[in-house]
Amino acid sequence: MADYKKVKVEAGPSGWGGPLEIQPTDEKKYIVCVTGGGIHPVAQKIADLTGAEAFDGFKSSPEGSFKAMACAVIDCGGTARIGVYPMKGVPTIDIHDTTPAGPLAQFIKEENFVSGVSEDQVTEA
Amino acid sequence: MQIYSSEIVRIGEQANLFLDEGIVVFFGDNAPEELQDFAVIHKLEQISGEIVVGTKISLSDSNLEVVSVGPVANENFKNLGHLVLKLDSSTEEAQLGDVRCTFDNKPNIRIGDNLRINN
Repeated sequence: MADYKKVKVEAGPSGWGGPLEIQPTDEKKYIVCVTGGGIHPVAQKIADLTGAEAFDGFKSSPEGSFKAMACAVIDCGGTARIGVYPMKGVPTIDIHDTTPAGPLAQFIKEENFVSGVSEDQVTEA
Repeated sequence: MQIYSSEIVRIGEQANLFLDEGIVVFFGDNAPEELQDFAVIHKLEQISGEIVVGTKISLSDSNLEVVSVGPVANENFKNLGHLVLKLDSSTEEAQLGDVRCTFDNKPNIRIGDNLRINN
């Protein structure tokens, strides 16, 4: 069994929600990055600090889909991805300064979503 | 000038969550399965320009005109084939990733329909 560490992710200066504590497990072992241009530095830092694997969610889906995700890092502009991952029970980290909106807004809570996040907001817990 | 031309290849099972509220969420056909479920999927083609105020979008049987473009909308379209059209004819400023449009009628989107974007 792998020994994953926990990290804390806080909202940026203009962000919303959180703080989230991300604790990967053997079942939820992927830091899934669904942004343009490969693994975003925020996802890489979470992976480095926890010891979990950063996974480019735009190239493929991890085995186990949503159930295998420790968290999702997105660059959502506020309507779609912002709701999809929280609805599916995945702690969600948006690098943009978004607040709950869109048809899935009801699923977006401070307990499962944090926005405006850069590397500075990711620390060891 | 035409900046994009493609066709609809799939409509996700849960795309209606958005369509019912006048929001068309597009992803390219390279998007992960988890997101395709919620989206209208277009065959990813070359994008040769930026969506701006006044851009004309022809989607299925509808003609749309862009009234506001969120600051990350073009970036998301280029990087991910991801485009969010809000068909509410509102003149309020678009959210970060959204493109707000006026429209002649709400599109009835079916597989095989065209998506064309012209400046």
